[in-house]
Amino acid sequence: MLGNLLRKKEFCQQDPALEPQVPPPAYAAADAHYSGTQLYGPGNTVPVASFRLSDKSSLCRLVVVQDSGIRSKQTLFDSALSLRPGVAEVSSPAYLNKSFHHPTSELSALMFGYYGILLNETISTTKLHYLPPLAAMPASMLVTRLFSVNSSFRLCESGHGDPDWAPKPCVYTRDAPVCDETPTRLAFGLIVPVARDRNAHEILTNHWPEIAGHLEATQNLIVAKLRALASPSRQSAGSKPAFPPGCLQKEPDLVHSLHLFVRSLVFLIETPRLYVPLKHNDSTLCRWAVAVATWLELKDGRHPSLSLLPTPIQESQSTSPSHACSPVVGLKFLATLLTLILPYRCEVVDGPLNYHTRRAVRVVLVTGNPVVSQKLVLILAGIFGYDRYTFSRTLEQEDTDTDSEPRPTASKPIPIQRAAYQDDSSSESMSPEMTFSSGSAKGWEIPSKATPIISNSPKFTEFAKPERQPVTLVRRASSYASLQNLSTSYGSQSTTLSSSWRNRLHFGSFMERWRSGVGESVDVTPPPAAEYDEYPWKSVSSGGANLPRLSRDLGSLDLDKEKPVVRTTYEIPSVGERVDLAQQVMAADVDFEPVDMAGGANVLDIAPLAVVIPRPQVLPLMTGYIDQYRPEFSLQACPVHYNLEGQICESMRDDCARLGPRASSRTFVINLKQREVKLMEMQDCADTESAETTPRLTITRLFAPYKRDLSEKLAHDVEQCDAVLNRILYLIKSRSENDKIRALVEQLIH
Amino acid sequence: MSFMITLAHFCEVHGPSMVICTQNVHSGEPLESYYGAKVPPSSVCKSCAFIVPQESTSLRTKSGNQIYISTQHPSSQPRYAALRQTIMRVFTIESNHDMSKPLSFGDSKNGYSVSLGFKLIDDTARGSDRRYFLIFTCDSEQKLYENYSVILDQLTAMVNFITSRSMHILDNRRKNENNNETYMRRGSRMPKNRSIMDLLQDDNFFVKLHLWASSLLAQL
Repeated sequence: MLGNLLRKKEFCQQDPALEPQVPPPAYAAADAHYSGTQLYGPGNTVPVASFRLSDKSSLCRLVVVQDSGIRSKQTLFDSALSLRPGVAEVSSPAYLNKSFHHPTSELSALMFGYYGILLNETISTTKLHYLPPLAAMPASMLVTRLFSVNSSFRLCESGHGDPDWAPKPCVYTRDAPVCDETPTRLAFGLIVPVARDRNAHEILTNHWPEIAGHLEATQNLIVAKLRALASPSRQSAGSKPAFPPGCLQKEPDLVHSLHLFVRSLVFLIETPRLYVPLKHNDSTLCRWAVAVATWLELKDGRHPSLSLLPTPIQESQSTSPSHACSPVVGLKFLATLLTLILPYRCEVVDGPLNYHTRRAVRVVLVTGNPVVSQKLVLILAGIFGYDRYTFSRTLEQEDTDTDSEPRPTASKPIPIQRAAYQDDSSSESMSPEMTFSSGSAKGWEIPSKATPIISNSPKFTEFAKPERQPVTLVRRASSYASLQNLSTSYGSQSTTLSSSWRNRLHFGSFMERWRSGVGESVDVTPPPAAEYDEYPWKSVSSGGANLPRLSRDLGSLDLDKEKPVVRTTYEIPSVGERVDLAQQVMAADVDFEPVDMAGGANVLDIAPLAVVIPRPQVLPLMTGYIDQYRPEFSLQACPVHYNLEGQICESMRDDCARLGPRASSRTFVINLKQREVKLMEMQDCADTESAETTPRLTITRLFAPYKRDLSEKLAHDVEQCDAVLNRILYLIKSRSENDKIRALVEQLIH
Repeated sequence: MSFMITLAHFCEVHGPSMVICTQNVHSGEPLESYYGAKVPPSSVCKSCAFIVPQESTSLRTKSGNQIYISTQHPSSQPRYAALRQTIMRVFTIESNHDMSKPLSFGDSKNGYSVSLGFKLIDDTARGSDRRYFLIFTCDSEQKLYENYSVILDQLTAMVNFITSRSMHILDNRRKNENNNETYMRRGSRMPKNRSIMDLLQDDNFFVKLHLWASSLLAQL
C-alpha cells in the first residue's frame, strides 16, 4: 500500500509539472492503483498526453459551406456561431470572435481552392490544411471534405475501373452523385487545434481511419439534413439544388456530430495505450507470467483445495500425463478465453477495423473492478502484441546491464522451486487434517453442503506441503480465502451457480493483496510477518524460514531501477538520430551504369543507398480500464453499463458502414462479474448496393461457468491451452526460464 | 500499393508539368511497362526536361527485392492522368496560406497526395522565381496517412536542401559579381528556360533525386 501511495504521489507530482492548471485526466482516478510499470512499458507510470485536446475542445469547429459560384460561398452551418447564448439570433448578425476563430471566407478559400474552379465536380475530396495562427489558437488544422449533391440526393460509388490505378479510400464511401446532372458543390471543414511542434499533424494523421469514418458519417448526416430541407420545396428533378445561407444553423445533430468527433479524437489522443513488450523485455515477461499465475490461482482456482468444487470439466491425472502439474481443477476460464480469442489476435492488434479484410474485432472486458481487469488486460495485451511490440535495442541493452549488476538481490534461480511444484503432485502422503484443522481454528465455517464433496474428492489428499516455496504459500494463502470473495466483480447478487458457494463461504476480501500483486515490487508486498499471520496453516513452520526469499525473488523484478521507456499516450518516439536522406544523397556522388535493354529503352542502373529511417512505433489501439465503452479501441476494460450491448451494437453497425458491403464485425464481451464470454457478431450480408440494408446481429454465449456443451474440437484446444498455461504457472518461479516461457507463449499464439 | 514521387514544375512554356516521377514496381509486373520512352522535344523545354547522363530515359534502382524506376512521365495512362490532375491542382487550384506548409488532398479517382512547394530565385525567370512542387502520391489513403510523418519529414528535408543550396549559389554569385550594370536589371534575353539542374549546379541532380525517392520508398 505504501508503494501505491508513493507511486500515486509521484504521479500527482508529475502531472502539475507538465500542465499546472490542468486537473488530472478522467482515467487517473481509475488508474490510481494501476501500476504503470505493468501496462505502459518498463519504468513508466500512467503516461499523460503531451497535448491535451480536451482543454481546447471549445476551439474545435465545424463549418458547412455551399459553393454558389466563383467568389460566392454561403455558410450553411458554423458551430462557432451557435456558441453564443442569450442573444436573439434573428436580431443579431452572425458574429465570430476573430481571436478564436478564422473568418469563414478564409476557410472557404482553403476548402474550395482559390478560384472556386474545380477539376472534378462530383467526386468527394478530402483535404488537410494548416491554418494561420490566431491570437487564442497558435496552431490549428483544417480537415475538409468536399462533396456534391444533386436533386436526387443519392450517392453512389464512383466508378474506377482501371486495375493499374484504383485509389482506395480509408473507409467505404459513396462519393459521387448517382447521375451527373448539375450537382451543387458543398464542403464541410473541421478545425482542430494542434500543438506547435513539428509533428503536430500526427494527432490527425495517426488516427486517420477514425477521422475518415467521422468525415463519412458527417457527410451522410449533412446530406440527410439537406434532403429533408429540400423535399418540402419540391424542386424539380434535374435542377441544381441551392440552400439558403444558415439553413442548417439550428440543427442540433450537427453540433452533436462535432461533439462526437472531438470526443473520439480526445480518447484517441489522451487515453494511454498499452505497451507490454513480452518478447524483448525480461521484467515485463516476469510480470506477465506472474499475472497469468495469479489469475490461474485466484480467479480460476487452480488450487488443490478447489477439488471440493464441482469442476466443469473433470480432468483426471491420466488425461494429462505430459506434465507434472496434474491436480488441475477449477475453471478453465483463462484457457477457454485465450482459445477463443487468440485466432483474432492479429486483427485485434491491427486495430478494431481491418479495412483489407473488411472485418472488425473488439475485445471488451466488462467489470466493476479496474484492478481485476488490469490483470486480464495485461495477460491479453501481452499475448496479443507479442510479436508487435518492439523494444528499442539501446534500452534493452541498458536494461540487461542493470540486471547483471552484482546486487545482493540479483536474480538467481532459487534451486528448490522446481522440486517444490513437482512435490505438489506427489505429496499424497500429506495428511489433510493439518490444513483443515487450521482452517477451522480460524473460525472459517465450511458449509455442510460442501462437506460431502470434500470427502468424496479424490484429490483432497494432494494438499499443501510444508516445504512449499513461500511465494507459492503466500499466493495460496491468498487464493484460499480470496477464492471465496475475490472481488466486487464476483458480485454477491449474482445468482449463478458459480458464485453461490462463494456467498456461503464469506471471508474477508483479498482485494488488497490482489491489488498489490504478488510480483509487482517489493515495497507493495505486505511485510512477511503480517503475511505469515494470515497464513492458515500454522503448523507449517518451514515456510517461515523461507519467507525472506520471497522478497529476494520479487526483488529481481523490482522496477524502480529500470530505465523507463520513453513513450507518449499513443506512441513510442523513434530512437536514434534523425536521418536526413536529402543530405546523404545530395552530398555524395552517385554510381550508375547503363543497362543494355532489349527494345531500345535507355536505362541507367543506380546503386541503392543503405539507410534505415527510424520511425516512431504507434501503439495498437488497446487500452486498459476506461470509464466508458469506446468503439475506437480494440481491447479495453469498461464498467458495467445498462446499455452496453446497445452501445456495442451501435458501434458494430458503424463498423459495417465503414467497411462496406460484406463486412463483418465481432465483439467479444467478457463479463468478469458473471464470468462469461459472449460473442456479438454482425454481418453485412447484403450484396445489393441499396443503402437501407441493416446488418444482422447475433449473440452467442461462448463460455459460462459450467457450460458443458463445448464442441469436441474446442474442448481439446482448451485443454491444450490450459496445459500451456499450467506450465507457465510453474515456470515463473525461476527467472532463467524466460526463454521457456517465451516458447510457451509462441506455442499459444500459433 | 503504388507510390509515386514527382517533381513538378510550373513551366513558363508548358504550364504545370512533371519533370521526374519515381514509382515502385509491383512484384510480378514486367519492368518494361514502367520504362519511359523518348519525349518529343516539342513537348518539353529545358526547364521541364528530364536530363540524366547518357541520354537515358529511365533510372532504375534495385533495393532488396523492390525495384524503383524513375522516368519523366509514368508510362501508364491512368497514372499519368491522375498525376496530371494532381499537378494542376497544386499549381492552380489549391490554396495554402503558407508555402512552407504541406498540402494534402485526395480522392478516389486521382489518388491521395502530400505535396510541398518551393520557389527558386532566378533572375532569368518570369517573376524572378521558378515554382516547383515535390509531390508524394499514393493509391491508398490509409497507407499515405500511416506514413505521413516520415514522408513529410523527408519532403521537408529535400526542399530545405534544394532551397538552401540555391541561396548559397546565389550568394556566391552576388559576391563575385560586383557589377553595377546588373543591379535592378533583368538580363538581356528574357525569359530564359533553365533547368533546376542549372540552378543547383548539379549535373546529376535527377539521378540523386531518384536515389532519394527510391530510398524513401524503400522505407515504407
